Amino acid sequence: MNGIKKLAFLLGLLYFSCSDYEIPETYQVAIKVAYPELFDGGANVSNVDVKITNIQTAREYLQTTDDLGIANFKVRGGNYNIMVSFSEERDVDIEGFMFKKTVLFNGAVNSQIITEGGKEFAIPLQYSIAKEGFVIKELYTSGSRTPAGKSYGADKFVEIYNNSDKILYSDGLCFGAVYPTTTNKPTPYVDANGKLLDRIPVWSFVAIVPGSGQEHPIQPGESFVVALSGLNHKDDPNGNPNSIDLSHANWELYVDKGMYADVPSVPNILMQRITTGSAMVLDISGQVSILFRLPEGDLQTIFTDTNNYLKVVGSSFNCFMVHKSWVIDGVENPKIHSDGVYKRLHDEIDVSYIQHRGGSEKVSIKRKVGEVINGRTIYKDTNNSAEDFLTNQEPTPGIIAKN
Amino acid sequence: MKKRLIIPVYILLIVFSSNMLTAVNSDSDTLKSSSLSTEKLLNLKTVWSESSNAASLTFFDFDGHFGSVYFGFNNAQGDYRLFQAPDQSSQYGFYSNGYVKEGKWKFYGNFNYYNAQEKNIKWTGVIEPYNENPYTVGDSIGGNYWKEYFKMQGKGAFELNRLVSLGFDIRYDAGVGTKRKDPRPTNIITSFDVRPGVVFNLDKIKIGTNFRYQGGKEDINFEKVTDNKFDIFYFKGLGTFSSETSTASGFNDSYTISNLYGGSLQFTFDTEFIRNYTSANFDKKVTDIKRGASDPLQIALVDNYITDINSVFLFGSNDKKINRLGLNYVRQKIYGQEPVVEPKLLQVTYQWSTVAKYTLYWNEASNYNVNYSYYDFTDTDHINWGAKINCTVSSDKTTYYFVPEYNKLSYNQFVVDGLLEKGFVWNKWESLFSANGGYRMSFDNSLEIVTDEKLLENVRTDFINQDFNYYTSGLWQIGASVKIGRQISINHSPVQFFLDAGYKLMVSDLPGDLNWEILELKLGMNF
Repeated sequence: MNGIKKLAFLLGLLYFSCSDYEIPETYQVAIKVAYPELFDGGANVSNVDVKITNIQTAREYLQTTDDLGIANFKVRGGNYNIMVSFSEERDVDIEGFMFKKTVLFNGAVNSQIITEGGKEFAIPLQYSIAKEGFVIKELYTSGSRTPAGKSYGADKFVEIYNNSDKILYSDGLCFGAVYPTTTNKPTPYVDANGKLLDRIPVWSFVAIVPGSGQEHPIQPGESFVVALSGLNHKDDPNGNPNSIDLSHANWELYVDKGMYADVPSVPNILMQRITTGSAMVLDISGQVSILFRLPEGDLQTIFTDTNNYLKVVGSSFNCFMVHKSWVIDGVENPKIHSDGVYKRLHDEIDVSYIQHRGGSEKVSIKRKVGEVINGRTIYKDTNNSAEDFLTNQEPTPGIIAKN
Repeated sequence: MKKRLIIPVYILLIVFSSNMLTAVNSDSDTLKSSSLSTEKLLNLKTVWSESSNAASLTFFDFDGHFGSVYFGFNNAQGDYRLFQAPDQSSQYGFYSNGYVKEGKWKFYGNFNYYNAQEKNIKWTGVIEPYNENPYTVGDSIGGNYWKEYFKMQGKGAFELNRLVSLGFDIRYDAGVGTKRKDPRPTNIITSFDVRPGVVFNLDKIKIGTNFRYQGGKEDINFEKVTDNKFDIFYFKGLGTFSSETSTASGFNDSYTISNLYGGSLQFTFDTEFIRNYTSANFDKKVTDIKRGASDPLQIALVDNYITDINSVFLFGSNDKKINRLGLNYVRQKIYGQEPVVEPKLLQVTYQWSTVAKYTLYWNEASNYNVNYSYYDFTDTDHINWGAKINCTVSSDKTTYYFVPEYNKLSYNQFVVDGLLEKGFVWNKWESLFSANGGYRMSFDNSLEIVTDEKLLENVRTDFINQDFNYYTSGLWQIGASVKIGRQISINHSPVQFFLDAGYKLMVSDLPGDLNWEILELKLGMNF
């Protein structure tokens, strides 16, 4: 009988142990924002928006900093990305002369775990002078779907735009796909403290505009389109009537003996192989991409220099490493995934990210129009893709928006 | 092919063993055939029939052996259904069960094999979407689901002496499911359940207890044979979801592992006029849901607590009639804990480490039931007529927290239903007619859904609305069945062939009078 009493006690304990659960509460979190030391001696930044995003649920919270540069949040426990992005007109000393320039201040801390109240985070702000140069105007990697419902991925492209008021030459301009594309997990290309390395890993191929330096001028307010395959995909019998016309592309990403046939009417861009594959990787779910220029030197030397390659623990490939100072523009276009988003690009290149809905959806990300001066469109470029880009857009290669 | 061969071989074995036992026991007075109502009467007459304690089989009043095998078919269809349910389900299979007494041992066993085809099912890629685990997965494409189950149970009781009986109850279930349309899930489920028990017989009073362990697993593997891309939805309860698009290789595999620990205490007393059985069951089930084979990510941990208090009274009962009153209370609490994870680089890959959990899904359900049965017997194996009335009051409250906002669904139901049965016996023929009907009403219902647009992006309001309507509509149900049996002799042993046909219709008061109808057919034999 004693045994039964003990069993009854244990069963009772089991039953009442269910009272351990608590209704989840929100936690107070303070985010402090201060200028870099070079600006106002690192003073507090007031009246700027701070956005924090729950990685798993994609829920965003927005608050404004007070006079002490602090934005207070109440959030549930979780993993969060915290981001600040703003710009100011500042007098900047350039080679001894003062110029009024737009300074971009971007800062983020990512993958922060908040499981208790009273936490404080300081956002280290990076700054950069707003550039007037080449920008990625449109990136279309989702591909489309045939009338039979099959995925069609040959119609991808990137469009690069001269956002300045001067003629720019695209000779030597490089486009790269950042590795790894599984953006629902952290990149292994980090230092001992988990911070992104100063060099960005690219894989697949590096696409390089050929030319000696002044062979391919791009007028202010004009763009050039680099297509995966320069076909009129819409009308070609081997294409997809639901697709787009890329026969007017300026370049195609042709790979010798690769996945797609050479279209003679569209010139081939130089394709420097980095890893295996029969076509440039442009992930349908989203492609973190960079536009960059290589340092002085001949291409063969640069691409055969083993110091320019790195394969870290956790990486499947020996990637070509692009120093962040080489980067002209970049866009963080990660995939939508229920595990969340882990960033690949530095804050001064892209402090946030922009996603498009699913693969084969025939949607692109397009840069927003900032202003139009004398008929010339100036696209928004604050190195904050969440604010600079529109998502889930109808792809329109070569068409420059005016509003 | 091998699986299909098992069933005829199994039937031959049953018939053969039945005849062997008949031959062995042919001198015994205990030899008798079972009828359409034998098992039902056995359970009605035994207060222990509600018990999960296998040792109580000792107190079931049977000698020798009896059982049944049959082929069964049922078809259910209609538009009164839950969001993740099919609009038509048909099932056919082979079912068997039997009781045997050998010396101080009593055994019960069953073996069932059945196939199910569920048509036009959407939003689910788990084999049993409504199994109290709200963390399901599904796609919007839908299609037809094929399922196949093997279920078996073996239960035995040994009367150690006049004072103590020992028992065991072992169950094993296995099933596979698949949808043959991209994205196509394949499910493999297994479940093993063991319940050792003991009953102390103190003459007028009996006290029993049993322990229960159940281990279960479901592997879900999503594949696609086309190169099309699909979205998949990971549901979290009350329509809340996260989603992702398939990669070239499809989706990450998911799996759930559950462990249930429980126990039960039973108490009975017998007097000349009344017999009572009262039991209290407590179960705790923990279900761990993970995704990803190489670097599994914990999606949720679901804790499920069930308390079941049950009491049965038999009074004014004898060999000709029985009065049975049942009282039942069930309380269930389910907590869905979602983790905060941290990626950690281990050797060459990232692994997810859980650093905290928050209880975001809450469910609390209570159910009170009173039932009364009266049966009049023609003889020990046949019902003359009988009736049962059943009243149930239940309440259910589910909350999913976005913190601090939440979705909340709560409802209360009152259900009254009844069953009337009439049996006929003539020569070697037997028939049993039954009619049933009932009504369900609900009250104090409420549904709260978040209004924040950003939060609503991750809530399927059609999911939560359809399920809310399902639970809270008024519902009429009416049904009838007829069973016909004919006794014949095989090798000098009596066997009864039977046909059982039943129909049930449920009609809701939702716009369009959404209904659900069920047709059942059974053809088999009692031995």
